[in-house]
Amino acid sequence: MANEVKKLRKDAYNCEECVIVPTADIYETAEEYVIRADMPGTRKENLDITLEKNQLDIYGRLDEELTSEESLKYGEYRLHNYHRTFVVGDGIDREKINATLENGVLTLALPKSEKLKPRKIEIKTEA
Amino acid sequence: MKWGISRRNEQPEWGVDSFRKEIDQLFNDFFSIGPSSLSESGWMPTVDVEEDDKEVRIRAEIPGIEEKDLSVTLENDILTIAGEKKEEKKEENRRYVVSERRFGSFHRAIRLPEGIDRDKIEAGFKNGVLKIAIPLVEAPEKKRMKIALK
Repeated sequence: MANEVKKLRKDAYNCEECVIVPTADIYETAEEYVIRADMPGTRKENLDITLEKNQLDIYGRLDEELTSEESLKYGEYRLHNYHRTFVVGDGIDREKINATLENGVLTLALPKSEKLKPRKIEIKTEA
Repeated sequence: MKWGISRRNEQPEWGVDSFRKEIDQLFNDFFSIGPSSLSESGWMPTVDVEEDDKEVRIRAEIPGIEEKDLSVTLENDILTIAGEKKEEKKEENRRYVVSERRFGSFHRAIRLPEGIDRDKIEAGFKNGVLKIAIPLVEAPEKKRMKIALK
């Protein structure tokens, strides 16, 4: 049993294609959409954010040292790269997307394009 | 249920997670993760514990917390990581589309092995990851000794 678990854990560690899907919050305000994703251990230099057509890709490479299976006493971590894809609508201002990374949390602000912003419609009264 | 092992509001099972229980059991003999989150926030940082013959290394993923809201304490042989993950500044008129992240206070206790050098514990917090290194001293009393028979 112990060996089985060890092997499975080892496989999981050595899995190069494996990625972690970071947990995220997405919300909308009158001005913008905001995506916040928990990506602990990612540095700014290792983060790639791309927008192609309507697909927004967040990719974070982890440069943490891998824990060796021999010395690991207790493990809950998955040391894989982060990857998550979002589909964005046409109503955002693609030129003004703003990304910040702080304490392992990525914040992406996607401003709405002018045509999508709520506006008050003036009612003209007939003279 | 073992204290502090199962996380409430567990996310969908991942490959490694499904073995967590087994791993927990295996490693419980080495380190016991003590009573932890008694709060109802349902959130706890994930922790890795490593030990070689020089030191014990603890790594915890705590994204979105500021260093000032984080505390690491050692009492007897129990190391406690506690803190509060606060929700980012609330703006008015937010409409949530996806809400997966959790906030609130947390508390995790880890029982350390004997023979640690209490004065040389080092902790650092960077990019949402807390790392603690606890050097081990060679405890003379732990060395094998022969007891003379009279």
